[in-house]
Amino acid sequence: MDIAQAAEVAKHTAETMPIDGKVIIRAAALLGAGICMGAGAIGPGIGEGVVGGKTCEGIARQPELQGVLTRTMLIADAIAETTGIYALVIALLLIFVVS
Amino acid sequence: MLSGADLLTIVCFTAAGISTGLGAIGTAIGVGIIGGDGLQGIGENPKMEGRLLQTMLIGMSIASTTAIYALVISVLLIFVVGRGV
Amino acid sequence: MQGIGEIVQKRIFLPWANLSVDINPKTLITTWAIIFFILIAAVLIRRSMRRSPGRFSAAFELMYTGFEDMAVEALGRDARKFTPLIFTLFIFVLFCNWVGIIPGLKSPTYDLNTCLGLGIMMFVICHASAILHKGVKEYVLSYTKPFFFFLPLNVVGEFGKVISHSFRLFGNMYAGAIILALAGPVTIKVFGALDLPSYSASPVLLVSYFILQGFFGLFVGTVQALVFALLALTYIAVLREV
Repeated sequence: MDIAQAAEVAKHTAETMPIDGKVIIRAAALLGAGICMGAGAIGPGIGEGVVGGKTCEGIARQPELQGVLTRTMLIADAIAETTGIYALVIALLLIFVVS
Repeated sequence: MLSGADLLTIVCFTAAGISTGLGAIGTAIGVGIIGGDGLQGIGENPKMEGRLLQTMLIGMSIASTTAIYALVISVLLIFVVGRGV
Repeated sequence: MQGIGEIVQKRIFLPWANLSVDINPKTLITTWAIIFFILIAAVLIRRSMRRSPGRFSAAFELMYTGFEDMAVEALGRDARKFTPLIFTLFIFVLFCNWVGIIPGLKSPTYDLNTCLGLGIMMFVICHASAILHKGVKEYVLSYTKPFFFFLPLNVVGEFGKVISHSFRLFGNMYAGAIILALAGPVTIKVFGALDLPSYSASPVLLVSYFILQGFFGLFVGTVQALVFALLALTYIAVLREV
């Protein structure tokens, strides 16, 4: 396809679906979904990292508590995960529900 | 002239890039913190190396969960929404 | 790259119930084949337990006692009831993840339905077991700990646990399979853009295929199966504690 044919195709598609309010709303929703999940994944990542690090240190200091420490680490991870889940749910809602 | 479909495709791919790009920041920092403290623990107590390695691996795979969420959203945006537009 | 990320679906119409059902035939058949294989392997290993243990059954016994120790630490006396469940979950998810390595087959956990099914099943098991063990009054009271206004936070946290449990497994397998499917075409395109002959791409492709399959398929699959089973055990223990 050369330039003339590409311009023809672009003009045709611009006429069939011009940029109006609906398209901009959907575009904004998709962009919002991307930013939401991206920025929302920063916090839980760092938080769960700190939790895991302290657990390793605790197991090294007191090896007989390893069962308790591992289970507490998993519980703390589940709670630190919840804000990440909120971000995921909002991102999925923005992608699939905004028409 | 720019059409609606083009604008949606542009925004789709931009959003996909932002999603995984930002999502990888926190995970990398978190996994690094786990690795550092895990190594410190092995240094304090070399006998517990097997158990510490196992805990480190489990912690790392849980800490990288949110990066996986961001990756799934990106893949969804590229292959499902970007194609259907 | 057309079919990446797609799952074939077929719609069946049930005339007696007057509703139509969407199924994914590839996922279902692979899941049944894995279940069949695990059952036969279990029967064979059980039979070979009479004689002195060979290497294979000894490896299984080692894994089982490892899980039983963890369950006893978490649950106390009731570990006997739950160890088979946790071990079966581990083995099932392990083989589901490993099947994806074979070219041409896709892991059942590549499909979100399998992972959500497992997550919802564990949700029902945990809460039903907690109600049967503690009684309804104690169970409802446990949502108000540590403070009374934590009630909505705890309820949302329960749903968050189910979603994170399933999505962790699904996300790791889905992302791994997509990266693997993309590695080939992207390598060929890069070699084409650098103007290298396309036959020199094949050793790079072969080596990268084995490395990527080994990492994403075997290693990540094993770790995710272990995390799934351990988290299931932890949820049961946390909900049952008085």
